[in-house]
Amino acid sequence: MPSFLKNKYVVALISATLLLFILMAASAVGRPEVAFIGDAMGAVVTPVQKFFYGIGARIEDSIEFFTEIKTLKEQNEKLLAEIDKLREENRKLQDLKDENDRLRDMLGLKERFGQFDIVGAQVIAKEPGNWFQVFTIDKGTKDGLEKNDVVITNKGVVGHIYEIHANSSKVISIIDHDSSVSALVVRTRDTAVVKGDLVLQNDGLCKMSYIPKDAGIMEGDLIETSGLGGIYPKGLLIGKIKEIDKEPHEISKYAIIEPAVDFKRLEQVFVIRNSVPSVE
Amino acid sequence: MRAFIVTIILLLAFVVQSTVLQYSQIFNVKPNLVIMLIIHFSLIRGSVEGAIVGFIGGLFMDILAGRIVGLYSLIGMYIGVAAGYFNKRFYKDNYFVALFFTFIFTFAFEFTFYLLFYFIWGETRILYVLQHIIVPEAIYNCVVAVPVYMVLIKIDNWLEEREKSSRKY
Repeated sequence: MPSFLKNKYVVALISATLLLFILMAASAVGRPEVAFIGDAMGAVVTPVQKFFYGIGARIEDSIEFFTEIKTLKEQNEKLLAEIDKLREENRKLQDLKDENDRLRDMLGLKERFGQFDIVGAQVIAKEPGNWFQVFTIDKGTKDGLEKNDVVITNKGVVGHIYEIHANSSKVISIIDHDSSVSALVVRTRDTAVVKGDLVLQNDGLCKMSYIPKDAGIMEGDLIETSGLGGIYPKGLLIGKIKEIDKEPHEISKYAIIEPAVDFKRLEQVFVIRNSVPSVE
Repeated sequence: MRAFIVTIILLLAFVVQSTVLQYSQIFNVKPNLVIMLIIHFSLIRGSVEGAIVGFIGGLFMDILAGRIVGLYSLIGMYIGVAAGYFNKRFYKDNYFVALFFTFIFTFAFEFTFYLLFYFIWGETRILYVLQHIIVPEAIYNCVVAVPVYMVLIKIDNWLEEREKSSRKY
């Protein structure tokens, strides 16, 4: 036996290392067994995190309140004038909406999101480091959620659940460098892949790759999910194109996407229950 | 008693880390309180306790908010061993020592992450990563480290006193 194995601390260190390697491998391939470790701990810590996360948001809000009092006054006057203008516009739009509804009924189209079964959830924690764009929400299997359920806000798509516990689940956002979503340019119907990027994710942006070279896309074009790939249902808004550039190899283009969701200020989200029905 | 208090401190640090500190980003980075505690505990108490504290602190981050379970535990444990190695060699009440090691080990911790990204996801923009993630976080950690270290030294002395008075000679 080598002499260093006689030191019980070294043996403990080596066995702990091996154990962690096994855990990491199991976790990386998404084995559900790993999630059980978190269930008991989550039950204790989840309510505490919920409370503290709320405090952080409130502190930020109240600091902003004091610094913005001056500008608020000016804005208020401007906004009052604008309200009058908008009221008039609103009336016109209401007419258009009524007309639209009538036409829609005639065509027999359903409201786009009517088919989804939606659960509200609160963000209770974010990834502690600076490398991953991952967060935890306060709903889990007890609320009928499943792995790969899609998370959205009223603005657009946020990400999907990759690890689920009884009372909480972990969500990977679309700007994480390890996430990819099949996407569609609404105007031109070009399909491409929206991926997170280590450089862009810290600014809350992501990247759309593999756009055909001859695609007629423009800055400001809206991007939505294409429904391909099996996790994200079709027609959820991702964001809009901020910048277009050629790949170095010039076979395809890429675009920098500004997501519709502000990932720095996520608090309330919605989970689409059973977003893609499993084929059995 | 000591184990209990240390666990509570780690848990509290983690909760603050994953919630309130998310709102304290400067230049898009946030300080890492748990890593700071692991480094400081190891400097005060040595390698063995450092490894245990690193393992447990890392496990909290992994299970409750991390991306890959086991990653923070593994790195935390080795940071604990390495930082604890300097335990006897330096005067531990000196804040500059704590500051210096906070910088060095935060840098080591984050650089390990970079290597991981390099080997698994083929991330090659090392200059950007150094400029925008690793060095800012190491500096940010140093700024926060001084008050944290002061509090930890106090707690450690208090625990030491308690243990001494209950010990029979």
